[in-house]
Parts: sequence; C-alpha cells; structure tokens
Amino acid sequence: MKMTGGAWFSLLLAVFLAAMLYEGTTFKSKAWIYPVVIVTPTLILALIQLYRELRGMKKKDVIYDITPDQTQSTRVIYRKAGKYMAWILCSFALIWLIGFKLGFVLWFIIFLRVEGKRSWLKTLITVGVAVYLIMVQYAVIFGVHWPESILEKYVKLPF
Amino acid sequence: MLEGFVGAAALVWNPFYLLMLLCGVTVGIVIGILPGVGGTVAMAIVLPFVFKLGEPSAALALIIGAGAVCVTSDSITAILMGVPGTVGGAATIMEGYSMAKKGLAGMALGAALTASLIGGLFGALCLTLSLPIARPLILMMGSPDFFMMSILGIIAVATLGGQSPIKGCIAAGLGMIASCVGGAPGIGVFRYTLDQPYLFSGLPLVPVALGVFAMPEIVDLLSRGTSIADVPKSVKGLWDGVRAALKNIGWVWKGSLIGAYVGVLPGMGGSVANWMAYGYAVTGSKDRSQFSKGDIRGLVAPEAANNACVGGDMIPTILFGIPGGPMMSLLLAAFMIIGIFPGREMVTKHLPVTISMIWSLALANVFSAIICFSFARPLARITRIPIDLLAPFILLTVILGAFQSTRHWGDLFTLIGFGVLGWFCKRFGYPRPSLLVGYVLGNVAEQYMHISILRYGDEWLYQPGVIIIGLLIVLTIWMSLRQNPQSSEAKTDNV
Repeated sequence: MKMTGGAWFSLLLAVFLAAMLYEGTTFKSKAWIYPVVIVTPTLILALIQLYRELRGMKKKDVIYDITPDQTQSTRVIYRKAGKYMAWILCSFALIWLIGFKLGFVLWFIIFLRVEGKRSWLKTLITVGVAVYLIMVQYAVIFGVHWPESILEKYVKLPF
Repeated sequence: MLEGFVGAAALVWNPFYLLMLLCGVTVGIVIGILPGVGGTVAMAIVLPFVFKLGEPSAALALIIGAGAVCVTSDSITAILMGVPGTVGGAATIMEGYSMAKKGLAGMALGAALTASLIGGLFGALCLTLSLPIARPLILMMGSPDFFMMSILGIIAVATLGGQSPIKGCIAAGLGMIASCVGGAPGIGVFRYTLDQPYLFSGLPLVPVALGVFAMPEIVDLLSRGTSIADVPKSVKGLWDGVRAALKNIGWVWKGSLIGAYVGVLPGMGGSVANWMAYGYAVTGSKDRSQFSKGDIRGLVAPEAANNACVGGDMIPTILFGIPGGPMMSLLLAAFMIIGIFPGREMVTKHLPVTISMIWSLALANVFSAIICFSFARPLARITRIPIDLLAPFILLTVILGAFQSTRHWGDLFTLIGFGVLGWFCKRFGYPRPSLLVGYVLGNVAEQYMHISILRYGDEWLYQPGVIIIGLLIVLTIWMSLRQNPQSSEAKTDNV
C-alpha cells in the first residue's frame, strides 16, 4: 500500500466528510436530514476511493474536465503551483493592506519585474493598459465596488 | 408558442442585447484560442457580469455567447499550430493540422469555420424543435418530479461524464454539501456557518464558480509558462475551404446530428461529440487512405459536431435542469443568479427568454464565424502573448468579479478556498463540473424536496413520475458501471 498524492487527497476528503457528518447530526428540527443523507454516501465513496488509491487501482484521466498536466514531474508541478498560489495570496494581502487599485497595480509591477523579468518600460506600459482597460473602463461601465483596505480606514484616498 | 417568439423578437432586436452578445462572443473567441482553457472558463469569467446586467436575455446572451463560440475559435490554434484550444478541438488537429503542414492552412480553416457555423445553427434548430415537443411533458411535472430530475441531473453528470464514477459522485457530493451552507429552506436553522454572518446566506455562487474553474486554470497557465509557436505567414484559401465544406455537406450534416445527439445525453461534452464524429467519418468512408494526412471529411464532421453539441447540451439544461455538458453547469448557475428556474418556467412565464437564448446561440455562431474568418491570423497571434502578461489580466477580472457578489471580503476567501480545492480536484481527477452541478442543483433539489413533503407528505415517493425517474437514475448508475468496469490496475504514481 502506497500513500500517493491521490491517496492523501482522498484521506483529507474522508476526514472532512466525517467532520461534516458529525456536524450535520447536531442540526435541529429536520435540518439534519438533507446534509446527513448527502454526506453519508459521499463519505462511504471517499473511503472506497481511498482504498482504491492505496491499492493502486487507477482509472484513465477523465475526459470530461480539462485534463491535468502530465508533462512535468510531480515535484515541479507542485512547486510551480505553490509558487503561483503564493503570488495570488500576496495580491490578496496587498489589496487588504493598501486597497485594490494601489495594491493590484503594485503587485502587477512586482510580478512583471520579478517573475516576468520585463523591463521597466514594458512593465509600466502593460500596467498602464491594465489600469485603463479594467480599472477605468470596467469600473465606469459596471460601477464596481472595491474591497475596503486597512489603509483606506485611516487615510482618505483621492481615487 | 407564437407569443413566445414575438416576445423574444422584442428582446433580441435591441442594441444592448446585441452588444452583450458581441462582448460574450469576443471573450469566447479569445479564450477559445488559448490552449487548454475552454468554454467553461470563458463562461466563468463573464458570470459575475450577469449580476450587473438587469435584463435576463442580455445577461444570458453574454454567457451563451462566451461559451458557444470557444469550440469555433479553437480550430484556429488546432489547425495553424497543432494545439487544441479546447478539449473539443483535439480531433480537428488530426486532419486540420496535416492540411496546414501541406500549405493548405487557409482551406482547412475555411472548411472548419463553415462546418462550425452550420453545426452551430443546426444545434439551435434542434433546441427550437425540442420546445413544442417537451413543453406538454414539462407542464405535467410537479415538485416531486423536479426533485427527482435534479437528482438525475447530478447523478448523470457525476457518473457518465468521466472515467471514474466514484470520483464524480464524491465531487458532486462535495458540491451538494457546499449548497447546504447557510439557512435550511423553510426551517430557519443555520447549517455549517461557523457562526459567521457572511455564511448565513450561504456560499455565493460566483466566487464558487470562479474559484473552481478559473483559478486553477490561471495557476496552471502560469505554471506551463509561455509556449511559443510559429503562426503561418498566410491563411489564403479560406473561400476554397468554404467550397470544400459545402461540397462535403453530407458529412457536415452527419457530424451535426451526432453532435446534437451527444449533447442531449447528460454528462457528455464536446470532446465526445468531436471524436465520435471523427470516428464515424473514418469508418463510414469508402476511401480512407487520406485520413490523418489531411482529409477534409475528417475535419468538417468533428467541427460541425462540437458546435451542434452546444445546442444539444442546452436542451436538457433549459427544459429539465439537467446539464448536458460541463459548460451547462455554468449556464445553470447563471439561471440561479437571474432568478430563473429551469423547467416549467422556461416554457411558460419565461418562454420569450428561452427563445431569446436560441437566438443567442444562433447569432453567436454567425458572429464568431464572421470574426474568425476576418481575423484568423491576428487572432492566432494571441497565443504568442506571454502568459505572465495575460494571466494577471484574467486574475484581475476574476478577483473583481468575485467581489461583486456580496462585496464582502468573504467572497475573496471563498474564491481562494475553492480555487485550491478546484486545483486539487483537477490534479487528482475529480471532475469539477460535477462539483458545480452538485452545488447548483443541490439547493434546488432540497427546495423541491421540502415543497414535496409539505404538499404531499410521504405520498410523493409513490407518484408515477418519481418512480419512473428513479428507475432512470438506477439505469444511469448501471450504465456508468458498465462503461467503467471496476477493475484493479497497477499504475505508477503520477501525482
């Protein structure tokens, strides 16, 4: 029996579903029926899948969803995915700290300079296009709401 | 029905509707060209805008325009570069790219776009013809039947669409659990809210959909990095391709029929239609010597099929709430946002909106054919834009779109949470369309179940419609087990 990545994922799902089942049984009145009826067979299937993963039983890749990348090694895939997830989380952190408009622009500049290794000229042109197209046009056409930041709570910004 | 057509005409011949359709088509064409992205991402990206547009027909035109034309524009990259823009474009490479290598890129493209246009219009025609046939059936159905149809839809998508029914059902179950978050319908008890007021109204649909579909694609696009391919200098001969497609019109019709049929079957998608039509063209031809070397028949049949499939997909989605394919899970989500329930309302109160969707499908195919014909080579250049420039634009749209749901930071946490879940689901083969369908239909199913119990007590379980649909559910599960025998196979760890 081997703990592959798929087996770990199945195990995590099984633990999550078990927690959902326990929580579901605590709901009052008839509110427990639907969650328990859904979670119970899902948990059983997750345990079956965990068993199949541990025994090494695999199916071909699903054709229904866009197939996962098989061209790079597992370690590289996880490393790159982790890196870009971290970049996305950094964008959220900047938005939370200094606001969407400032935060995303700053993040975009840093991303293009560090990750894209672009020159300052190309970076500023690209970011300028993004600011105009999305932040001005998008905002004007759809009247979007921007997330509130820590900075905006204490400093009134002109934009 | 006639008043529905008249009502739809008033909705459709409206500059705002046409503008939204054109916007959707533009997004769909651009996304369809990007390898490995697809119609589901295009629809997910425009989904937040559905909130903002007050007019249902215009909102649906935007989302249908985005999803319906990806399978048209993906033939540009498939033929010119040998890279499928979407999963449904893989069979096009077999003949189209071979023709391009022989210097017949323009002809191949002209033929593919013509076949796509005819197939797309055929799919719209099938959808039109299905309305008067299905309408009396739908009007006979009550809340117990719609509950069972919701369950059938979830099971069909979960078990028939992929190679692993178990993973499909787990993904669907996860989606249904996500739909339980918030207040229980008609009971007034909050479930799985962790005492967070943000969750009292449930998880908002748009961040969930964007997280599941768009975020993993952004991460994977960035991880794959730039792929530089040479775009052929010339795409002359487009009109030769049109003539060639019309000369092989029989194969175009056959491909369209296959596509529409596959689309109606729940859980299938464009890739199945694409390959079935290709296989039929090969086996049904007397002279097979030129197949995989640039045979026009092997190009026009699959291209017509994957466009007709979209119209076929919409039939069970609109009429019964059963998504015909992965993109239709997002169309269902759009219905929920607008406040339209598939089924009875679509053929009564909202009949003009339903017919306007048929117009959207037909016009989207026409617009995309015109745009792709006119700008084939410049459009192909989009694939040469470095991903590190393109992905942040998409990310920006996704973040902004997700936040518009409830304008709460929780939307962004939901986006990232489901983004992580979606990435792992994609990585380990848990079909994401099943997850979203479970989420969308889970809530609908519980509401219908609640109404059925209130109205009929326990007797709703013994109604003929419930029993018949229950048997269909059993049949669906049996079919999925037959096509996926549970055999043990020792495989190397690729994850």
